[in-house]
Amino acid sequence: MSGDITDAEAAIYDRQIRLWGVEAQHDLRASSVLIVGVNGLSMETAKNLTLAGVHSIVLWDPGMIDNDDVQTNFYFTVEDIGSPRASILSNRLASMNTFCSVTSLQHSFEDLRTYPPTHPDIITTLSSATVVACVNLPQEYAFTLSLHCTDHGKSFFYAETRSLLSFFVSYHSPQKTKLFNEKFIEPRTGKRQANTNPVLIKDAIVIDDDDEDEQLKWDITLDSFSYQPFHEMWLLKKRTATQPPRLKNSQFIAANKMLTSIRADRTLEYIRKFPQNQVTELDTNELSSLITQAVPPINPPIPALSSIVGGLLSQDIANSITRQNYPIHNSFIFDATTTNGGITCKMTESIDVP
Amino acid sequence: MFNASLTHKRIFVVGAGGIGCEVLKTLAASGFRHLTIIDLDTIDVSNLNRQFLFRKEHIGQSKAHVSRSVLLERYPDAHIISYQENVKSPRFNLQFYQQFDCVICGLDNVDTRRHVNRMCIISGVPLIDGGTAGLTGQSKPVLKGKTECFDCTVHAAPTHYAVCTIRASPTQPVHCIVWAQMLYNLIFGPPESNFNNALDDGEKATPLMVPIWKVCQATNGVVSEKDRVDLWKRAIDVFTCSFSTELKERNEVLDKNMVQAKPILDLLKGDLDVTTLSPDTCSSIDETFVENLAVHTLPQLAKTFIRTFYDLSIRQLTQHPTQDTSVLFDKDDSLALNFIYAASSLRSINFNIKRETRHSVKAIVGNIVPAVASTNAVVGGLTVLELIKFLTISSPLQNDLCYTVVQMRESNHRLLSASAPADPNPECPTCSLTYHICDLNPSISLKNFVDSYIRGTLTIKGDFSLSVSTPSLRVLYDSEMEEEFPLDKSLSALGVADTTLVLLDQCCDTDTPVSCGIYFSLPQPTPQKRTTVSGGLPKEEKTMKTH
Repeated sequence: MSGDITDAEAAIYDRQIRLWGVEAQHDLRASSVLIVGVNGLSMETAKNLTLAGVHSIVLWDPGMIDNDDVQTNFYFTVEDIGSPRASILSNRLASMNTFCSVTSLQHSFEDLRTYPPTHPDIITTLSSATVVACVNLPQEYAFTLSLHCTDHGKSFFYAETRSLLSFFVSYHSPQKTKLFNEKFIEPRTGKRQANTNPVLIKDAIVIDDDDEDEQLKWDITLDSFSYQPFHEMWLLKKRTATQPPRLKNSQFIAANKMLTSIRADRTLEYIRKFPQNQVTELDTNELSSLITQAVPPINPPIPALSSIVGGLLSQDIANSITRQNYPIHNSFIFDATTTNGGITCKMTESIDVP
Repeated sequence: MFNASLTHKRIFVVGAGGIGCEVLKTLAASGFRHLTIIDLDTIDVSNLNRQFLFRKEHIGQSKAHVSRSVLLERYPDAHIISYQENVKSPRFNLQFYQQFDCVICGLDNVDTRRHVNRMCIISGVPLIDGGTAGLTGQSKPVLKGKTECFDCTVHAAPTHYAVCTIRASPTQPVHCIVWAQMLYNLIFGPPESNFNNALDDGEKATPLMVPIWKVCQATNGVVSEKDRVDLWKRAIDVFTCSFSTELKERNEVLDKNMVQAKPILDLLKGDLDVTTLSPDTCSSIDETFVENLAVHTLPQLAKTFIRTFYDLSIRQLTQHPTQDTSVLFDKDDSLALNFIYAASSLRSINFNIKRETRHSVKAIVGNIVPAVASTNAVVGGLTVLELIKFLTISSPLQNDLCYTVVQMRESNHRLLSASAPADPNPECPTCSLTYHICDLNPSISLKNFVDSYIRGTLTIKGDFSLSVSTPSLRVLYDSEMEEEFPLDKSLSALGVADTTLVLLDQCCDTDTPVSCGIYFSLPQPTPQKRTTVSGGLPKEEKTMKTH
């Protein structure tokens, strides 16, 4: 959308312009968001971004609406069963804000198995998107989209719900991060104006057992000046522990597993695609079974969780577009049993798998 | 995760605004099918950025009824009742609350939240209170006897400004804006408005500062040509007086250390002669968004003040000809806003204070809280998550509940922080009391009530006092000064009726002082029978108002 904000837009956006200002509204109007994977969580995310007034949203999902979708998604009815998820949801959301264009893409995800993608529809869709958000998308597809975003300086988000735990991770290009930092880093000290203390996952997730902290040896440091690309998070450099992984009955473990799963599940494929990266051998089957045992994947997501995590994810996307708040630094975890939700910091390349 | 056990739970959703829409959507998607919605408000264009159940074509319609019909379209099997009413109305009495398994509250004002909180405490129905402001919010469960309630902590009162600051020595933009609002209410508002007395201190009241309906009258809704000429002249006189003459007088009697005000007429010299203006040549600043953010020149502001004063006068006389029909300032009234903007900006220039844009002036006079869909979605989801949690736990303890604070900024690394709700405050004016439900007919005399109910049924000994808590606290009876109270009058003649809460305070000299509430609840049918209008009806009937 070009030109100044019209009186009609200003009337609708009044309460949020009072929150993030006119400039931010202009930035939102110039942004196009691609949401890959349609379920309750992406519905919530797309809904909030439609209301926020981004220029356009494309919903991409090749699937058809099934009974699970109808049970948990406010915008799908019984009559929609068998119809394409993406186009039905985009129609419903489009009526919500006439200043935002909401369209759909039904192309198969299979074309994301290669990078760069070659299909013209996908190339067109990707080239017009300024932000890409993957929701409960199989990681091999998200991987390609992450590469695309890193190569083209776009913001990338990956969100997933697993049982009562949900998380999302984000990537912003160094150029974009520089813009955030210009706004939020204090020039004199070089520190971010906000709290700069390193935060561990255990602060985000309530943990009872102290010595687990020792055993896990998560090497987490805060580096406020860059974001790690999603596809690089999968890279496991080494596995120091010689003992077989042990499952512990704690939410901390569960949360770690969840994050680890992103890396572990696809490590072998990563090696195949990028043989120059040396990755030591890892028994992914063993780990995968542990992960599933600890944190069973859940689809469709619980509506209340979708509402919460979708709210946070859409706000983080809006923050990255408007730069009115520092976007979440790399990953956010929400634990529905305690209703705690915190940010974990960028992982360094050296990660020990429990 | 569709939970069949939730289908039959009855939920009362108070407020169908930003949080309400989110709560209703998530409740329905989670499987709840028995919902009661209440909201007094109608839909405004500025709601559409977050109250996603509503569309442009719903503007002006009831939030409660529209949200009901939208939900029924999606869930035709749901049982939904909607009320476009004030939840403080006596019809929403104890029996009404007792039909629900839980109340979810998404309100924007403390007063109503306190009321709902009190009703939940008296009835023992669990309450989950959601609140948002900008990027912050909270979800707070209230369970009688197990957690603190809404009244256990003191809530900040709205800021008040000293009258002398407003009238004589403003130092901040907000002082000028409050002054302009007072001026508006004095001339165009109802006479009982508290604001009036502040500007009009009796001694210095100028004959110009009187309600416009006292100046002239409209005949059959038409203001005569002569009156129009007079009103235009009056607009210029009020302008001259308010921003120049009165301030020159003030400057003369001023202490040396106080700031001299700059009269507008002196500043205007050469740029504009207001006496030459006429309704044909004088236009006000456009009511557009671009102008909302613009900085305006002194002549523009002067013209806008005079023009809007004149337009408001004509409108007032034709639409609200007497004091009874006058209305207080409304932030969505663009003519009134333009007047207040011009008046406050001129006064800021008088006192050399930073000027606010019309966009900001609106926020200040309208008490507008910034609001966005994402925060409401988070808080709405948290309240429903909390609800599901304690509906699925057979007897929830304090530790099973989560009081969650939302801070959607990265700065504190915890966007959502949860803790177990605090213990009830033993000093709390609401939840520390024991409540007795009294089904006596209020036609009995005060004496009879005291002797038979208080001393008899409740076995209260020693001295005590009774006071009625609604609408404002007043003493009904004091046993130490018994002769001063009309003992033979009936309770109803003393203002006690169904839903009245009487507070009993026992004097401290007794060994075990009692403090309790007596809630009058007459045996009568609930306002809405539990047989509800079900969703499978033709469309006309679906949107039918259910009261």
